[in-house]
Amino acid sequence: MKLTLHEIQYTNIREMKDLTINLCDSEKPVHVSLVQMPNGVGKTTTMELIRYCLDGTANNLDKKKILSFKPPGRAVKTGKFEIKISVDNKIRIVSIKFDYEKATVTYFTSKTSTKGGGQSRGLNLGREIEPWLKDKDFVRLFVFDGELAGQLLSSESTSAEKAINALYLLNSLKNLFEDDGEIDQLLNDVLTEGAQTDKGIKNLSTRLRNAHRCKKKLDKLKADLTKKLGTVKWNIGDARDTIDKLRKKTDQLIRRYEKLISENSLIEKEIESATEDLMDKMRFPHNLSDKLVDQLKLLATQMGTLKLPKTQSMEFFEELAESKECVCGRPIGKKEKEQIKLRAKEFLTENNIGVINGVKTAIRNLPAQEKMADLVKIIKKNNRLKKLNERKILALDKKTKDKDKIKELTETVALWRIDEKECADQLIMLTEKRKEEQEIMDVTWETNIDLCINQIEDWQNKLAEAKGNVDFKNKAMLLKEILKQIHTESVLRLKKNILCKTNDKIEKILKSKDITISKIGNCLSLTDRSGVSEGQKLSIAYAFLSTLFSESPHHLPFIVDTPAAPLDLQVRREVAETLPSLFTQIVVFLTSGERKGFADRFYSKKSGCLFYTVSKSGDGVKLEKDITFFKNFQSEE
Amino acid sequence: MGFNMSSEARAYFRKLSKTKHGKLKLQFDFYYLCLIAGFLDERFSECKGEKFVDEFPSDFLIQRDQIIGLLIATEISRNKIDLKNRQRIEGIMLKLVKPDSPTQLSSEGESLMNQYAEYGFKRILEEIPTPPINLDSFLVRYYEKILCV
Repeated sequence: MKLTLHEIQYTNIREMKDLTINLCDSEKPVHVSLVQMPNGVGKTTTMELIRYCLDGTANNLDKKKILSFKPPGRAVKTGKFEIKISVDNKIRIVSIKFDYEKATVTYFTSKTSTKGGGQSRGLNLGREIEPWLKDKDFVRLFVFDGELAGQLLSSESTSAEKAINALYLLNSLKNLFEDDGEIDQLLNDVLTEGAQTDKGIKNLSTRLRNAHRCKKKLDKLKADLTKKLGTVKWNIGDARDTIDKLRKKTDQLIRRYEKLISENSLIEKEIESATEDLMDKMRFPHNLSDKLVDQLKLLATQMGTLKLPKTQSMEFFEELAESKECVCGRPIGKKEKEQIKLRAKEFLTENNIGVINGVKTAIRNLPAQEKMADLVKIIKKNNRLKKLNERKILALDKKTKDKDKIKELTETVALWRIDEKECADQLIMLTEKRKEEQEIMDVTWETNIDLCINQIEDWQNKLAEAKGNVDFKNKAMLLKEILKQIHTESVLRLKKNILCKTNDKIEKILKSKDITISKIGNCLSLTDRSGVSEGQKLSIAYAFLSTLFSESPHHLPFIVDTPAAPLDLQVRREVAETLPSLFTQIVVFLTSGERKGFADRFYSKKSGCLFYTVSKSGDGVKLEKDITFFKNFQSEE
Repeated sequence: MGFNMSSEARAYFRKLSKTKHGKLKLQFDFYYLCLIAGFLDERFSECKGEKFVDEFPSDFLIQRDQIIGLLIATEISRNKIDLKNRQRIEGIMLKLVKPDSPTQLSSEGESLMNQYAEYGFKRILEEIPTPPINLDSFLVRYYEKILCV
């Protein structure tokens, strides 16, 4: 199968009112098309819509998803996304029409190169190609889904095996020998066809048909349970990773939190101690102010100069007033007595003199002044530190709310574990092959696949015997076995070959022998490593897919968005060199940030490269097809 | 009479009196800080407060004579008394001191002390309007706004 992409056209799809991106030069698709789009303009949308055009899954979209393509803020009723492709050199135009009023989509396919001509309703790309494209996993390989890179390395996924089966046409082989495959169906037709006049044969045919229907139902249940189990396991793994990361982060935060609390406790002690010292000093007035000290000293000096307090007390004069004569020998009459008593009140009592002498002594012997400035500085400095720490503690307090998230996730994981166990138990019942276990579980051919297969075989044998088709039936079974062995052997050999070549490419891209794939099973297993970075994952995916494509009988375009964002410069250069050599057509949707190291590797190529820039303009977008504009475009992100 | 504090002043210092710092457990500490602020400005205000203590607490006995000395010195300075006028100075002392009183101050002396403290409280309220919660911050602000101006 040879598939190429010629043109992409948008009409009223999100920001794109009317936009056509032509990927051809003189009607032929160019080797490399680089379409630069800032984030939010429509890279992911374009990738999604291209996939829908090929695999037909737009019919399954819900109303909310359909309306998400409606241009925001514009009253439009319909929209259209269209791709022009070539399938084995035949031009096909696939359109998805969006009815935004009814929230529905309709496919149209045109089989001529003239748009609108020969248009039919539905997705009709031809019998040769449709079985491939209806496999969503197959389309994701070349309209590349970045999530696939992670899934290729996930032990829960079967992406690697699926990719090999899809690209090397092994699915057709599988379809022949699988249960309910083409051989089974043919055998069934032979065994149950014809005018079944015999009541016994008719009865057996009905039973066999019922058993086949039951087997289909059980197979579907198994597929659903396996998918659910895979999803639940992946969810649990993802949640546990998140819990581990949060725990690690929270533990660090708690350690910092505790350190700050302990620092603050020491700071508080220092503040307390300095405050007590300061208060001790403040309790002595002479420490508080020079002005007060000066006043006290002046008072002490004057008391000395004025000989205060006087040595004569009030009591001396009161006693003198009662005497008949004064100390000078002169007599004391009534008049003198009254005058002495009156003046005596101007003198201090002896007790008063004691108090004043106490004051005089206290202020004469003032202790040296103790300065308080240093203590004030210590308190201020520590208070600043304390406040700073308190702010940090508050900020950490908010961050440690991750604890709640951990609790919530742990509870969710516990619920998922119940789901996981239920799924696993149901799967065991459905697939158990050991007879004793089947008996213990009390399963029947209607609830167990193995028993159902046996039952089908039993009725087939009986029917073949009754109709004389035993030989035909045995040969059909033998053919199935042979085809199965061919398939197993083919897959093994392919895997071995792909493993070597993929490892060579990984080494070339990553310039290192540190990362290698040890085994290709359902997924890719790394040698002695449990994990790799996002950039390394993508590099491994490119190496694996490019190996698959280079050996595959299909010739497909490689359509990818933001292919280099997680890669460092050296890896980008290698990817830019490697990809074009592996595909006949590459369409890359990228941001301006990916020009360096990736897009710039294509600037010097004189032909076979197209450089488009799609950017916002007013309420829509505009398209520039110019390499200089491409090189210099600066998005407003 | 003893030492008085207005209800506003008591309310202002209420949160500090509950602080864990043992050193400031006395109501007299707040009174003393207000008193110093009044002495520094040599101004007083009418005080209608209630008595909270009869005498100088034991923690302030050593400082008692210094405080009485400050009252006398402030009164001499406020009344602009000539320092050579022995009679007037002695008169001030006579007016303020009473040895047999628990505070060793006359009722006039106690009243003046209370009025200086009340003015000092108003001064503090003007400089530090929010009632203090932390002793350390209050003392730093008292030092900067009252003592260092």
